[in-house]
Amino acid sequence: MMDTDVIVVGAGHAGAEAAYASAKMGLQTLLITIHLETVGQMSCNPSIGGTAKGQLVREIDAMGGAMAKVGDRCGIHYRLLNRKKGPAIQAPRAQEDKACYRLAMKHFLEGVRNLVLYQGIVTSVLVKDGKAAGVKTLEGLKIKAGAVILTPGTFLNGLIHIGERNYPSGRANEPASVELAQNLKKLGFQMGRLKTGTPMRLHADTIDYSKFEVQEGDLDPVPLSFWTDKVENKIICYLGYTNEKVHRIIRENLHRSALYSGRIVGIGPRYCPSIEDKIVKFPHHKRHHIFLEPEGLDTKEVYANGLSSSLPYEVQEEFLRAIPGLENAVMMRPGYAIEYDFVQPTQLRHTLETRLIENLFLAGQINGTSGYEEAAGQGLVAGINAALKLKGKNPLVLAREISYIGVMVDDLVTQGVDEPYRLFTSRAERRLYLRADNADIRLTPLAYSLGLVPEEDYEVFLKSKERREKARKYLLLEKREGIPIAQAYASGKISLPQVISSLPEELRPRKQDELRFLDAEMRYKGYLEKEIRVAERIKKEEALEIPEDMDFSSIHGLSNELKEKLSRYRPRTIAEARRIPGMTPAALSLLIGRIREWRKRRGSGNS
Amino acid sequence: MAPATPPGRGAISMVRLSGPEAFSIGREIFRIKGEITPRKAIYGRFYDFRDERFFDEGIAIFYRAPHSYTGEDMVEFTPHGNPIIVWKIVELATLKGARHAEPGEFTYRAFLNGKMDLVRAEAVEELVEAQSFEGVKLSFSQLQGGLSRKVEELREKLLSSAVLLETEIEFPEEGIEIEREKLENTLSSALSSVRALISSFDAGKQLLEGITLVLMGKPNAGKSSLFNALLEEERAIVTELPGTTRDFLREKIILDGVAFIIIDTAGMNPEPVDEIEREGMRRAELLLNEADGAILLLDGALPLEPADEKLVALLRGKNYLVVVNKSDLPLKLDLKEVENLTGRKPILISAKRKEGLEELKEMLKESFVAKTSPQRFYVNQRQRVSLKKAEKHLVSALQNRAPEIVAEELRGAILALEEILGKITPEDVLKNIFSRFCIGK
Repeated sequence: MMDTDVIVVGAGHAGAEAAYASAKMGLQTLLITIHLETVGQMSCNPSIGGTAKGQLVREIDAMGGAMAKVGDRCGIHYRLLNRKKGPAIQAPRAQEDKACYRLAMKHFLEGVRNLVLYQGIVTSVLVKDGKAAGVKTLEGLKIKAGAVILTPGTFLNGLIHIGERNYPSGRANEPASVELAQNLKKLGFQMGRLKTGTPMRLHADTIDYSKFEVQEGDLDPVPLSFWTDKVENKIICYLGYTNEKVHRIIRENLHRSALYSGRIVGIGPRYCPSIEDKIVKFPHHKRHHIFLEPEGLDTKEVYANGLSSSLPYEVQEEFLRAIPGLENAVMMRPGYAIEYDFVQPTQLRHTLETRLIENLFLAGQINGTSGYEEAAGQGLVAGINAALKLKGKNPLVLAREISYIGVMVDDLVTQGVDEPYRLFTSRAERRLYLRADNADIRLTPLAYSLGLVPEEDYEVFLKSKERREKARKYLLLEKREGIPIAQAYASGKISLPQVISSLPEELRPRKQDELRFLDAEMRYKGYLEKEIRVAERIKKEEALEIPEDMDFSSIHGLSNELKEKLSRYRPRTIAEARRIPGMTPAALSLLIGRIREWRKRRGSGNS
Repeated sequence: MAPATPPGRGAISMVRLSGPEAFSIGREIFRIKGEITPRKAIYGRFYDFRDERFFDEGIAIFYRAPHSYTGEDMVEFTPHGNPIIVWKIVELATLKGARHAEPGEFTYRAFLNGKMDLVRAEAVEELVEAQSFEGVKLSFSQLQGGLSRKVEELREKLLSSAVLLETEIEFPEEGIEIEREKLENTLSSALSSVRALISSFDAGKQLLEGITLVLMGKPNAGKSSLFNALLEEERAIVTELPGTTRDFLREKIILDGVAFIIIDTAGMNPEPVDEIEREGMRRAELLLNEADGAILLLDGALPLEPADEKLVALLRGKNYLVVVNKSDLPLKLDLKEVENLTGRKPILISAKRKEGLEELKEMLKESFVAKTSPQRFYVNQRQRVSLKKAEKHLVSALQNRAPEIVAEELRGAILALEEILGKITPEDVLKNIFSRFCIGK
């Protein structure tokens, strides 16, 4: 039979990482997907990375995940965003050959020991004694497992909107997961509805590129993965603009858009609005960007980034005619909006296990996020923790202070979402520390101890880490003209090349990332030291134990809602209290104060 | 629950009861005819449910959440002003499940329930404690939100700069570039506002807490007489014997709405002869260090003595006035010599005959009252600490050009300002980005 340790439902970016991590940690893993042709499918834009996301991809890579490595195998256009700004906010991004990516991801997963891929539609989660015990498929198959990870993406009760029409679907012309959504509701989960959209794809040969500005990749492209030596640019992208005529056409047809006619109830992301949204919200803007991004090397499809729309086909066609260079463009797929169900993530633990049903984990868009990278990061967390749970080991919770993954999971489970959640660098308290160039130093040792990093990768990492840290120490201590080299650089007295040439040959950076690491460590020295002190204080506070007989209801000033939650969850430490949904920093400091008071009173009472 | 009026007897007292069960507990001890009408004065009788007897009558006002001072259900009882009645009411409410409120708890709850920010909550306390009418007016303006608005404005200003920076950082491909010069102008104007607020600390402290002056002088120079003359009441014992009073007396006089706390160091001897006097000197020096200034009193009937010179040395670097007493007796003191020694023009008075006191009062005002334009707000010690933090961040922000570092400093400055108001709102920056910029590659 197919009975197994871990079942992962859905083989998108979350499912792929979850299944890979779980199998890698030695658990028999079954990855079930509606359609085996679309494993690792990039449903929307062709990029991986970008601001905050690029740092996140590096963390996934550092944790032994698949995304960056597969991404580098199929990357065709690389840019390091914020290249002219400081290293903390520089973020790698790669445009992918989409077909290559999904095939490479499928191939990669097929080669993993303990991992079985299976095509099927899961209709419900089997629950026994309050614990997930397996899944049931459309054909009536019951598959038993110790843990279940759901990563259904937009398929969960998906509903596609184009103009006045809508139909159930998980992605253009693929079936939605309707029964699974009903099953989750029946199990008692609080669900909500979100919306996202995608632009039209155009035939490359029908675009007049001479009307667009060329956007080339970087001259020295930066790979997504720490373990990729070299990548190259294989295509160029184009930049163009909408105009007032386009805006007029859209404005006149707004009543026909699914979004503005009121047919969509789900909430869409503010940072990725449809073209009609941009025109309504920013009426004074005379033009908006359009980026033309080829979807791959073996296809003529071009992604019209910036033109996401839920207007009817004929309106999309009409406004394209008004864009210089797209007058004769042929649409191969129209843009559309999609609504889908999500589970309010405050119902999850930091391991992404549901509080309601033990051994049931959720990752990706089902938790209210958007983005391939956000999904993959959660998949990794869910996969690792499902494996740890079944092995009877302590869970893995990545702190906000050491990773963007931690920031994201913490935001999700403590704050919940009211729009599709995307990572931003400004969500991190330690932005100058959570960088792309040191993600491996932050996370790889941990991942290695979990068995997620191959031996040969770890060797490479150790050498690079040693080189970086020795060079760092050298620059902080060695002096030129009486002041430490690092300080001379930070105050602008010497340039980066001068700094590097002052290093002994064996300590010089071998890769761009090593160079950026040194740059950052010198530039941000004072800030990083301060952050460490703050992080240490937080760690100390987190270790503070909450007395077992502490009466939370007697803490004046806490809202009744938090009092009730504290009494229900009974956290044992401040670290645990911090993770309670809705907990605020102010409430936490109140709690810390009360514990200290309580202790003092106890202490004096005893003596 | 707690009495809201000080203990003691009077026509009426007030007892406050706040919390979700305020109404039900309130009705157990205060019996009325008919139903409760919130925010209306209701007549009723205070009832002891243990011996089933009424023990007083009075007025109560019931407030329904959130329309109350604390933002919770709340009852204010006004029984007759006898502490026995007040404590009976408290006791009975306690038996029904109420708890005695901690000092300031009603205001604290108002803060936590969002009825007022931290600055206003503190202003309530300061209003009650203010030492002069100017102080009362000042803390009332604070309660009305003068400072809160100022800090809020500053925060908004910094926030909008942060929004620009963050947009540039998060969305490098949207072509949104911040104008450095504009940013720097905003930051330096914020910095000067922060500095102005910091400097309001001294003036505010004076108006609220008063100006503390130590009255210095050798024994029998007439310190107690001057002290009393200023107070215009017989507070200290005035005798011809030097060193009669060894305990320092403090009294308050109010000049044009500003409180002066005058400490009489009677008994202090600049040339101590015994352990007690030595201790007195030590305490006087200590006082002097904490005070805002001093009055040096010299005896006009005696020539300048080494003891006087010792005091002048002690006062070096301090803000003080020189007063020469006993203008009713023949002048033996060389005023020119005094002026040379102290660098100050002495003021001639007779404490005994109450002569020259008006001039002295004028000089007190001129020398010690902070010369600031009429203040609409001031900062207290806690607020000053936060402002100092904000100042530091802004200075660093102005010294840096890297957007991620400037953003870091701005974050610190905004956090410091939020500390003042007692609020934390992390989503604000992102929310602003999306309302101001069209993002969406």
